[in-house]
Amino acid sequence: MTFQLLGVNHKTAPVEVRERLAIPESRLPEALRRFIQHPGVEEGMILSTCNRVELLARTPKEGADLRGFLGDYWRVDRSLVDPHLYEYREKDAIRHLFRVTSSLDSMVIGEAQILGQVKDAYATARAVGAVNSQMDQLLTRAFAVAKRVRTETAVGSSAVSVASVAVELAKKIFGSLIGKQVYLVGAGKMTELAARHLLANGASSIFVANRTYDRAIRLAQKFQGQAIEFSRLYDTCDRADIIITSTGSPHAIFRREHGELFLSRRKNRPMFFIDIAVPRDVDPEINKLDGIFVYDMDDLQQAVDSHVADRKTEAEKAESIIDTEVERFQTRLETLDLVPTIVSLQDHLESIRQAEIDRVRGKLGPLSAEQQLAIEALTRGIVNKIMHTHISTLKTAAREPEATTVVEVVRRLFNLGEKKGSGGDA
Amino acid sequence: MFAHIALIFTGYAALVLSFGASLLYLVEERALKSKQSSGRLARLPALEVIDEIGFRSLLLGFPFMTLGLIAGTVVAQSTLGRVNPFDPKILLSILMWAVYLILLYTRWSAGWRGRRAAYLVASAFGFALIAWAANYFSPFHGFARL
Repeated sequence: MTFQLLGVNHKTAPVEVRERLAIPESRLPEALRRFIQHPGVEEGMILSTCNRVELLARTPKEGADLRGFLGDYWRVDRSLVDPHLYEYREKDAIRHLFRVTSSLDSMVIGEAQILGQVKDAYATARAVGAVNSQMDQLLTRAFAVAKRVRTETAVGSSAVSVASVAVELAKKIFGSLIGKQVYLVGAGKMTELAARHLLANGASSIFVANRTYDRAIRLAQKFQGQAIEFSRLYDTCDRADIIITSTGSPHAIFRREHGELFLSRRKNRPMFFIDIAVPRDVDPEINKLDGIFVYDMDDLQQAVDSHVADRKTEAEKAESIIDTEVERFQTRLETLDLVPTIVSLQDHLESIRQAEIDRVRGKLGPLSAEQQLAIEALTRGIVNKIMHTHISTLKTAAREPEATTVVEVVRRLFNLGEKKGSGGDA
Repeated sequence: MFAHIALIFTGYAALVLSFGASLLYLVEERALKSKQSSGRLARLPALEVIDEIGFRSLLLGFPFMTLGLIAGTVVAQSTLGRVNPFDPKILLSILMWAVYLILLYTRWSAGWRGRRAAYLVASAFGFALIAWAANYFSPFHGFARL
């Protein structure tokens, strides 16, 4: 048996192809049922997210025509999809799954979402009975590998979006964001996104000031905040701990003297300005004041870039973890593959039988053909009875977690010798 | 006598802690202002947390220092009868205590923190060190002669 994987992702296929192949969650069970009926698919799982669609199957040694299923199920023009497909087998399929689950194949390396998505796909496949024994073990291992990567490398630890960097910085200044007040100056998409992030992290109330008062009211309502008229901006800003500005003003709105004013009103409690406007709304001079921190778009982007670079170095460490894990799993699979063990067990017992017959044959004198057959039948019967128990024990054990040990013990008991890696068809 | 030493020591300890916190505050503030977000900075606690630690330890240490000084006066009056207010140790200790007081007052009234507070804490700490060193010049604080 072997593992086989066919798919498209954000690197190989444009969104038009990916969305054509994506399967909504509600239709996934049905798709899985059809997938395991596809010739050659013994177990199967389908992972469908916005960045990738992948079919993973356990197939016989000679493999299965997964591309055929693609054509059958989606009824897409093969020539449209084929150039974007990647297909892996055996080790490569295992490696790919491990990399995907550990978020090394993601658009944003190290993002945490993909692990949950693979877990969901696995849960669905399990629920419809599309995975059991071997795929079960493969997926369990993949989750363990993802966890190992997460704890042993820093691949997912730093913020890699402008909004999350802003939150991280705010936490660096204020500790907890609980109870912190956020002031939005200008009601743009970006301010809204940043505010959403801050609120999700515990920030309490929101003020919104905008030149068009209506828009301020609308945005404030979204967050159950308070709209403030633009003319009262300077009188109210000192109430905020975090100020996010994104107005279209050609000049700086906040200058050094405003900073000084706010600080004296706030008894010097720190303030964090996030300036995402271009041209900038906050005069960089303010950053020189004790207790005020100003980050503009470039600063935030720079932090994002350096974190992305950090993740890339960490990803290299993760790749080597994956290499060892793939090797380990492969070895385990080979042991789990019972065919060579059973064959050598059979050979072993057969040679004992032959040797024993040859040994006693001389003492028996001339035998009739019937007697000869009886001796054959008797000895074969004994061997088969013994074999039968062992084979069924091995087969049951192969589904258990301690399978490797059981197979090893049987090999040692019967002195079957070391297994050769190439012995199996794994 | 024991009360005097124990109280003053606790006061010193709080001051040292506060001094350490304000150094950390300055380091982290500089890093945040110069926009270096990775590396050492990542392991420091948040700015407000450091500030809080520094302030709390000051707040806690001040009564100890005050009581310690009072205890010292009482002890001195009962054993020596009369205290020379120009003894260098006593003078410096009172100066240190005054800076301590200023520190708490500016914090309470104007919320001084960060660089300015750090300088004040550093100077209180400096006076404390000198006051400590003054043991060698003060006729009745010399430990060697105790």
